[in-house]
Amino acid sequence: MANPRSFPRFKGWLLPGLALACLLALPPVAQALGQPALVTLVTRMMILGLAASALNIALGMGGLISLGHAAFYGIGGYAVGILTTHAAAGAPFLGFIPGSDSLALNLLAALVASGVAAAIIGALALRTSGIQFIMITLAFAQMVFFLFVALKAYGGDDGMSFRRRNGLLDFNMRDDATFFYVSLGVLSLWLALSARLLHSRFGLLLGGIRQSERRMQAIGVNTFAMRWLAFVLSGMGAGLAGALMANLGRFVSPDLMHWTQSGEMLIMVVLGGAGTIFGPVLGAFALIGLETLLASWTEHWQIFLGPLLVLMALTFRGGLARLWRKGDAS
Amino acid sequence: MRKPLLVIDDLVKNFGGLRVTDHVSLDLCAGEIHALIGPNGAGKSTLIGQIMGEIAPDAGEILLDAHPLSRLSQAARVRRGLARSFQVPEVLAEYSARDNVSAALLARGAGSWLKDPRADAGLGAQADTFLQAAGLAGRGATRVSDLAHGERKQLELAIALATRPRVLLLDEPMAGLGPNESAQMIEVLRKLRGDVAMLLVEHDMKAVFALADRISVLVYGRIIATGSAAEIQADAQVREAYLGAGDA
Amino acid sequence: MALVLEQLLNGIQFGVMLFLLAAGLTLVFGIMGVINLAHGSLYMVGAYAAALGAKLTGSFLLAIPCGLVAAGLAGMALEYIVVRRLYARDHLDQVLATFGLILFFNQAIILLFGRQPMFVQIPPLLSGALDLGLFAYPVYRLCIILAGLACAGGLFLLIQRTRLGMLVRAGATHRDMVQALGVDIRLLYTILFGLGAVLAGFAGLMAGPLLSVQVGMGEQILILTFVVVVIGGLGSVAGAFWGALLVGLVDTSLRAFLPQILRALMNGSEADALAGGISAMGVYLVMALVLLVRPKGLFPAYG
Repeated sequence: MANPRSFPRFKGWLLPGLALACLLALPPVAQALGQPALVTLVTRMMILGLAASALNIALGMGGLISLGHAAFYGIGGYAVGILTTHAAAGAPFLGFIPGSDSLALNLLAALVASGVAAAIIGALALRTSGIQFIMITLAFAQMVFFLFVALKAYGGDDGMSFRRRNGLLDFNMRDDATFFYVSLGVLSLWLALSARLLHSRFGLLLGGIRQSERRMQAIGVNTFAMRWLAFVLSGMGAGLAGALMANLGRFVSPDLMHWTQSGEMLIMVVLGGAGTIFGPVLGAFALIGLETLLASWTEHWQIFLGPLLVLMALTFRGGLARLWRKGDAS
Repeated sequence: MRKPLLVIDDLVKNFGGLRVTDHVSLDLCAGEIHALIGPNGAGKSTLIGQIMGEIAPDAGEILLDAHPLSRLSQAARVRRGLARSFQVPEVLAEYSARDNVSAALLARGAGSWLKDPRADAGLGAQADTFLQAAGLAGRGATRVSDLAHGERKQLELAIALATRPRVLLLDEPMAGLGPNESAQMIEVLRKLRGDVAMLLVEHDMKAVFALADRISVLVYGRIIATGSAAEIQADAQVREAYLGAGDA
Repeated sequence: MALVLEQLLNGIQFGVMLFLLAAGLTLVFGIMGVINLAHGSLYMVGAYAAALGAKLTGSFLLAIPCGLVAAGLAGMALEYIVVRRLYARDHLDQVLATFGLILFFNQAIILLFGRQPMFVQIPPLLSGALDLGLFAYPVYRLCIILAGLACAGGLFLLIQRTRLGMLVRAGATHRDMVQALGVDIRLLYTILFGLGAVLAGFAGLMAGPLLSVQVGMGEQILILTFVVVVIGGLGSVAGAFWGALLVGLVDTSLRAFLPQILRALMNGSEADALAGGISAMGVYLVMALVLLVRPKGLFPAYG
């Protein structure tokens, strides 16, 4: 009882540590088993886990149900796509922004672009709350979707592909295993940051706003500004994930920001456990795994997934992460 | 007579066709406990909402230290020294009692910017002093959803105190408390007397007579009398409001 | 001038279709507190059932009850099996469950009808154009406008003048009280949800001959319906009506006129691309503007 936190925290990091070890070992093992496609599949899971973890900052920590995060995810992807093709063509974007095929620069650009979009959309959408907020985030994401459909210069409906993944140091990014490790690194970094955020004064106050906005206003917190900041950070994380996803397939299209993508991110967060650090990643692995499994079984897998989601929403409380962290609220 | 700290000057608020605040003027001196009583629906909670800036008045002004507040946000009013408690406890149910108070401390900039506030011993100790002042010593680690109603009312007070207010607006701190808890709450408020000015909205007359320096009576949005306990008890209009039509 | 009027009518026609969807959505939200993403699926069910009915019977007139009944039954079943369990839940659970329902409905339609769109002929009786003096306008679209306006009028009467409407208005604010008075609120909710479903199905079956009937048609219009509801004010049927007309008119006129206007200012292909982008985003920009000025919409239902 003297320090009630030490034990669950140790327990909380034990399993993720094991998971990290398994992930580190995955590429050689998959190679040995003759399953190289597994590496790409798990890379996708990790990237979507990053997106879900980003959404979790708004949803799990801030209580903001955004059904529009696919927009930021897509904007991050297009930042990479646009800069990479401009670098290949040698012509600056908008006449003054030079193209780039450096991964570090392009991830930075994705963070900036999605952050700016989230700042604008957040400032408008946060004027409302509840169901209206859900509808408005969805509607703005749809607006961004149509914007990119209309951008014929960047492939419009069909999207655009580029020849090579962005470069990082002297790594051979063509190699799927290398890209796997790069994605794992970015994901780990992001999770460390969001753990830091959850256990910061910002995290404590944001969680307070989720529980009672009225209370937090009465103690002098500018609740709008804090929610807005959470929304922007959350959008930036989604943009980072989109940038990695663009690199994984060397392809971007408006499909990245299709509204069902926003819905899937929500499912991942809730399935894994909203408000937890590792839950959303776990949720992404579980959902993509389930989808892959069902899809290998029948083309009409969504007819099973749909009712499963309904059941999950009706019966499943707290998410997968809670299964071994009973009672540890934060 | 001391100079008033908080002045409410000719305040008016309508909800649709209903005038819930009807040219209310009221003042509160430093260190004073000014009780505001009146039947249910008289507009007491609405008045607190207007002072804090949750509700915008239609006319009139509220001054703190002769500075008008009407253009200030709620956060700015809290910075200038206003705090309130809620009639129905508005506390953070998933947090511990200590974290509830810590949130208020953090909101005014206390605590380290680098440490996890939940692991910040200095902040925790500071929070515990406010819990103690509100009668919740030793309950800091308890999750709020496990606190009894009376304890939540005490927590309301601890949170409000943690913002270091000069003026405390208390919305029925005794509501829902048992006799022992009421007595404890009266004791807690009595200890605070002099350090902080209080506007005490309350139905519990025992508490009002035990604590208040002055009493104002609000009926249908209007102040019908202000004075000492003895003056109020003798006031014919008050007797009529309470014994005639009211539901005290 | 004739062209402008014609496009205005097209805008109104699109607006009343949006209203039929938005009315159900806003009622279900306003009274039951539920966000129903699967509302668009009921629109799709209505369209498919009517298309099937028309194919089997060869008569559009007989297809109408097919669409209405199918959508109504689907809606009531949905309420009975799933939505009723969501009333007490938070919005997140509602979003997830109804998102799952969309996946289910879409895939079920693919299994039953395949991925190929279905086409429905405009019934011969309504296939001509009516001479309105300045221009001729398709009879079918005029019928949609009239039918939509009739539905709107009926809905207003229902809510303002009938016992059901009284319960609806009372139930929205005093759910427990209505229940305490002995009204079976569960049955009331099922009926109301069914009514919303019938309206959505009606919009779907009328849209059939104008658009192709295909999987995903529900979500396209659902998101626009959200825009309507946000602009109009959540929970307000009158707001849904005016919001729908506004969205219908803005969307239609941008698509109709913007390319020509821009082509006067810049070269053809650039103008078309820009116009396409702006007109696709137009209604969302209107929504953003409304939000800036009135965050609760043009006709806030309460407060």
